Amino acid sequence: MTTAVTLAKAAGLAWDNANVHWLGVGGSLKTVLTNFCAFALPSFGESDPNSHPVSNWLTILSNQADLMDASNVPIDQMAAATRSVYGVCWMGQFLQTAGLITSSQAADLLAAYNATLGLP
Amino acid sequence: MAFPQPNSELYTTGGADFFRLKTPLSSPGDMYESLVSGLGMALGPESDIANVNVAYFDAQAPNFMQFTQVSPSRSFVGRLDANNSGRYAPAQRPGRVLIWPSDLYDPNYRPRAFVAPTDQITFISPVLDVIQYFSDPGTLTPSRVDKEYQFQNYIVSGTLYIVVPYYGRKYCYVNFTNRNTVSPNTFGITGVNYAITDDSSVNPYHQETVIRAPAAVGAGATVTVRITAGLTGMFDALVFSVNNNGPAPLRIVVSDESQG
Repeated sequence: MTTAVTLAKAAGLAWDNANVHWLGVGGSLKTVLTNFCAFALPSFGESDPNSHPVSNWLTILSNQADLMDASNVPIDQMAAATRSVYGVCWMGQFLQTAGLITSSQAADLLAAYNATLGLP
Repeated sequence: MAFPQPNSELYTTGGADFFRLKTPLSSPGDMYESLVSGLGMALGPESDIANVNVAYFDAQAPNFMQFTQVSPSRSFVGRLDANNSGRYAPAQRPGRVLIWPSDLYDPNYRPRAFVAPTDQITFISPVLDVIQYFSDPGTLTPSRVDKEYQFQNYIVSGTLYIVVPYYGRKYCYVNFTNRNTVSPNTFGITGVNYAITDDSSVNPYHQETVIRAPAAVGAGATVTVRITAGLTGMFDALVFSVNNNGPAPLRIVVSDESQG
């Protein structure tokens, strides 16, 4: 597991980080992804349309995590969820750069990533 | 266009039969939404992205979210519910139709042979073109148009790499002529399949297939290359490299047809 200093870096590390949790003893991927979404979602409120691209990704990812087996996740489910992590991190990076979400929101998304996928 | 994205509701209130989402990708994570239910979804004619995921509200699906995918060979005819009054579980966010590329894109990709800072790279951003129909479309044949690119002069300090989207394409015709009357121009073609990877690492995971190894094209000489899915493979992008300012016309035609 590797923490990231930017959301673009977090996106690039998405597969490697998810893979470690997927292969971990007992498998923690479901829990990690569930927590990532739960930590990040409150910062992307429904009332702000510019937050929707991020919250829409988190909505999909939380659904993917919810449908995972607790400890025996097929590789295609892991790959699909990793694609969502990659997407939400890149989306957050772009929206922040474009001034459509705040630096605080982007920092919250990165902190949620580092506190879950980025940690052992 | 990109973000903020157009509001699909304005198309329905305006009486349009469809909502067309046509935009160059802003990032590898582009995610779009439609707040309106539709009766069909298809790839638009100008899409570089070949595979587009769609999520919609389905009261009988787990967490009320159902998925489908449209591509050059498959559109979707049938009701796709947005159901704004419903809530996707477990996030508890309102129902809406969600649209995003399935294909990977990475503007931070650099070829293995790339030498910073002398080499340069330029990307043609992939276009996402999706049409959501509000009236029964009957049948849908979502063919994409052929795309043609033409370049001829370059500003090169080392090697210039030009990245052209190629998702799902089955044929490419390449015609390169060195019209510099003095200097040769080293011209190469590589097929790339993107991976989810840390581009700042010493070993990014992207896959590269050499289609034409970089080799000098003499003054006045021409190179013609035909890339076919059957013989060469299928790639997310084609990367063309030159190392001389030119003039050196480069014509590229990409197509969904296998061209026999």
